[in-house]
Amino acid sequence: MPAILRWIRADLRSHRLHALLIVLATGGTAAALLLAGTLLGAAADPWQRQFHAAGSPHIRIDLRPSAPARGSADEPSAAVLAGEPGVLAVSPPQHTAETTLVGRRADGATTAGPPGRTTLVLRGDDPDAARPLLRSGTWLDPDDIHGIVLEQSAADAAWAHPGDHLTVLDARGGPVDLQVRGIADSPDQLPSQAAGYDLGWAPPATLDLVQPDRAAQGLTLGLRLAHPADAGYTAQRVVSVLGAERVSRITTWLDARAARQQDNRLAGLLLGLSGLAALLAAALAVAGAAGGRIRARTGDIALLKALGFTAGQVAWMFIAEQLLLAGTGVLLGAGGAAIAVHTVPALGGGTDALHGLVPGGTATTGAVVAAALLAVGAAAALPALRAARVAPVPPTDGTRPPVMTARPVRLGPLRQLPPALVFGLGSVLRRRSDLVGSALRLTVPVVAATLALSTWTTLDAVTRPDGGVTVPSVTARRTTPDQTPGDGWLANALAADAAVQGVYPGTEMQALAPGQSATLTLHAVGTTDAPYPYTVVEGRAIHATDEAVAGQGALDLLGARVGQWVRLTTGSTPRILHIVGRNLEPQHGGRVLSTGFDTLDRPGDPTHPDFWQLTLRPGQDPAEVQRDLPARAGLAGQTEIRLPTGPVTRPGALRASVVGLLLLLALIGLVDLLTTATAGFHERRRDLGLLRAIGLTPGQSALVLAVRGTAIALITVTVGSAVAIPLVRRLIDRQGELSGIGAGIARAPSTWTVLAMAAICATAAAALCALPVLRIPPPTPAPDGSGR
Amino acid sequence: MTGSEPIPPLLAADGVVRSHLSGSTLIPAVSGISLRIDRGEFVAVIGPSGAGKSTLLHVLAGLLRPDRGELWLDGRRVDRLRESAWARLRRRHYGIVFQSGNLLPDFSVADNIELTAVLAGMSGRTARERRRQLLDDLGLAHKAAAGPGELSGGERQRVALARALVNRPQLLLADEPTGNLDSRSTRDVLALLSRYHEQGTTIVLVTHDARAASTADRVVSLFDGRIADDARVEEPPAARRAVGVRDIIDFGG
Amino acid sequence: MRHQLLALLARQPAYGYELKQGLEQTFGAAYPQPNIGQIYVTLSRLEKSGLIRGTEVTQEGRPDKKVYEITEKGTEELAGWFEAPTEGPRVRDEFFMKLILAEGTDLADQLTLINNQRRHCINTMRGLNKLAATERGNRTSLLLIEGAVLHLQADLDWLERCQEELT
Repeated sequence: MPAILRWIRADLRSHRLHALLIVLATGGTAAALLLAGTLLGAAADPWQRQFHAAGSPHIRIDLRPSAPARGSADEPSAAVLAGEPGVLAVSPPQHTAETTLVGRRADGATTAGPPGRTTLVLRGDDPDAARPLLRSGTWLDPDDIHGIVLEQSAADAAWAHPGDHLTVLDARGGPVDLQVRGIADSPDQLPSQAAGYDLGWAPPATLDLVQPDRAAQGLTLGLRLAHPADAGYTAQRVVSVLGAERVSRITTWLDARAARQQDNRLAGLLLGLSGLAALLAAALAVAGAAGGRIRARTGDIALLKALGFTAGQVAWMFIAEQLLLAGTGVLLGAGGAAIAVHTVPALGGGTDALHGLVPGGTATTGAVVAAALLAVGAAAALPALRAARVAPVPPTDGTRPPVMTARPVRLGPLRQLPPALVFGLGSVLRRRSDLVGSALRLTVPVVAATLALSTWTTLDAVTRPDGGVTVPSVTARRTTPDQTPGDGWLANALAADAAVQGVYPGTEMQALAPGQSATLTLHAVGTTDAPYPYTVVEGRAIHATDEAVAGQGALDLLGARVGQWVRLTTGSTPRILHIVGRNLEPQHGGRVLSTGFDTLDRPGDPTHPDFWQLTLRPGQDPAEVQRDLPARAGLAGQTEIRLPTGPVTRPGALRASVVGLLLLLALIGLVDLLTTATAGFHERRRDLGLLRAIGLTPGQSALVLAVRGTAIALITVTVGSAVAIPLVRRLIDRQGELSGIGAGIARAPSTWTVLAMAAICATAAAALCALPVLRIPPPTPAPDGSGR
Repeated sequence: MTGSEPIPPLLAADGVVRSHLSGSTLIPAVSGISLRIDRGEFVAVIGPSGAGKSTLLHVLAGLLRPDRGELWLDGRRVDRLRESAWARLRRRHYGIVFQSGNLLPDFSVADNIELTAVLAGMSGRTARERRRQLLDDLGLAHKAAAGPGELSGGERQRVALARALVNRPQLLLADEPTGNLDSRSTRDVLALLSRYHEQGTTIVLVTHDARAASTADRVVSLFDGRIADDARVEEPPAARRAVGVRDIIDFGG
Repeated sequence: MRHQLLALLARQPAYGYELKQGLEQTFGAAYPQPNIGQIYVTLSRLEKSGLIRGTEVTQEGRPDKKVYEITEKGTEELAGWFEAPTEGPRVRDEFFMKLILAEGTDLADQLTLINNQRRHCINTMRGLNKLAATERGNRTSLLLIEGAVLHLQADLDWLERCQEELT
């Protein structure tokens, strides 16, 4: 309809600032949602970025050693697989050799015995195959047949660092010394806990060293697929083409992702939630801005209807205008996000949501764009319908009809205050419904900001090395091969240190629940007499042997509740434990059962602790303790200290997302404040003219509106945080429960943070409300018609 | 009227009643008005403030729906039309000039006029040509790009008149078009109304100003929401015209 | 008409006919056309009162005419006229009499009286409008018309008040 377009054009031309702000707010929201998606990918889901960066295959096929398939005989299987439908490329087959890891020692020290023996699979390095992402140390030197690179989770499990020496048993059972050159991430690989073996890379010659019989070496192949979503189907095809007896293990990218994602869901969920809150806030801001302008211009709308605009046209006019602005904003936002992702390398990993690299990526972008447009359209629709209902009788005297009947307020003792304060507070009290609308609109960004800040503090608490949700602790471990000095002496030496509050002997083992394929960790620390201070949020602490507390992840996995008995198998030992409580468990997705060390009294259970968990006195920095404690306690060379491993998040990227969200919310808040300020200004323009005519200075009349704005902002922040903090606690706890750590992790932002937020809001509101007043010309006695 | 086929009046009101709600009490504004306006007439509606002049005009324009009574436009009953139907009717058949211009403040003079034309389905080019012609006619060609805030009261009223006339309506409704004007601007606006009346436009003029009313050829006096008098304005006899003001006012002594 | 003629003579001495032309030029068609006879009658009265002085001027082939000039006494009289406050136009009390006395006579109805008077005012207004159109350019004339229009408007407003109070 050309008339509608004309109106929109003229309206936008005369309200450039407003239009710009709406474009910025929607653009910011769209960009934030898209970037949050990609940052989430990068922050909460490093797997996706790594997978992309490593050029990892979508399907990893491990083949059993087979006597006939020697040497080049492997090539046919690669050729066969390359011909399969949907297969883009087959990586060159790499040989694998299975060894047993029996010992590790730090550089220069003698070998210490790791708990139990684990299988270490060595994979022959091939420059043509996708290599894992080196995390620390250096990559392999082909001439150094004793150098290996360990997979990250394997290195974590073995406490191995670059430079450490490992002792493995070769095919004949003889010890072979290997040195860790580097540690790498292999995103197509299940973590060793889930895979059941540790993985390392070595030059092919090393494989021959540990398994001279090539026929006994296994093979591994990777497939890249045209349609990654079809991985499951292709995996089935591969098994039937190669024969089930030939395939020892087949891992799709979906398995690998699922195995690695559980630790990081919390961050993703929380940021997603904040993003949605921002979308809601943006939609409300748009609604508020549109509503405010419609209210300020009822006279014009009435005139348009008198001229022959139908109610439908009037409604469409406003909706179309907002959609146009929002559409521009979303386009700019998406473009900006794309440029940001391309130019800022830190964001580069998470481009998938924009590029559709991972199935559903394009759909995600589309969904974000559609959601933003839909939200804005819906938000604009309500005020637009109000506009459509305006009676077509234009005001006769050139002024707007009174929006509401203003009842005089008894200011009583307020009269003693400076006049500007009295008038400002009076106007707040008099137009209560106006106040409620403004405050409501502003509350949503405040709630969203509180949510974002709580996300920050909660994630900070969860990922901080000194615990945060748990008691600050470090783990100490003997580095000597034998039991000298004795356990008691060692524990006493550790306990004597000023930084240490308590010393708890412990060990850790993998446990299986009957009928479950996934493992959980049995964490046995402390004794019945001196139980470890777990953060128990449900049920009670351990009082006796065979009692355990469980993380939410463990409860979910076992399908158990607090108070129930559960059966487990560690190695071949069956156990029955009584779950008496639930603790906050940031490690392993909460799939941890914690019990006392003295519960392990079955035959074959360790008699000596593998480590001591040390709780620290308040104010101690775990990193410092880690560095200084061995020397201080006279245990240098005899113990090493490790920091607890929390969920593997990247706090930097997470913080960037939270800061970005806060900036966006600030922008949205600004739009809301501006709406409130302009509405207040328009409604009180006449009053202010009168006030100035009776002698209020421009400064004082600015103060009148500033007082009003400040009052609204303060009410908003008070109500907003009062509503937000309990709400946010529940939301975060719910997310904590979903993530396996368990409810009870929520941390509200500090009082100072809330106060700072209030101060910022109040200052911004005061400034925004006061500024337009300074620009009104001195009052003119006769308001002439259309000079509005 | 000698024609065998009675020509329907352009606009006819029959027993129109309309009240306003003020607080919780109904205040009758128009209480039973029957009025017939034929093609080519120039009718002034006068009366003290509060007599229901503006309400009557709003009812005649479909801006307010009558509580009771019938309204006929060109032989078609229109008082029961839906709001959107009325809007479309207004675009094509009505030109409305409001008190103090009521121009859209964000639109230039040209846009104010063209928007109405485009709304009635005119192409952008035709609208521009019409607008140009009208502004030339009204002596405002140099103000096309100005905003309403830059115009004097008289200029605003002339722009409002141009806006009302751009669709060449059958019926021009004007609500106190000279309300806030000085006598020179009043004279200009009234001269323009007479001119468009002579060109065949039917005009209903609501006014408090006797001079404006005397421009019309029929004066309807409202009192308390009812028609108190409905009279044709007589041309004063030529002989008396020559006598001049002395006949009207006795200048002292 | 005394003071009008005195005022013209205060500018400069003039013949009777010149004075008629002067009046016409000054007031235009908005003012009633002065009758030459009336002017001569007034002039002779003014001369008799000693306010002006006439001097016979002989003309060739034409009857003599009199040139009038203002005397000292005439100037004083004129200054007194200018100085004295001017009474406003008198209220149209005849209509008011009709309106008040009509009640109870069964000969006239108040509303009809008011309506008729209003019609009369509007018709007169229309006449003034036409006059204003023809007198466009004559400032004196337009001012006079403007005054008449405003008086009429006041009469109409007063009629409204009558209607509100009496009907």
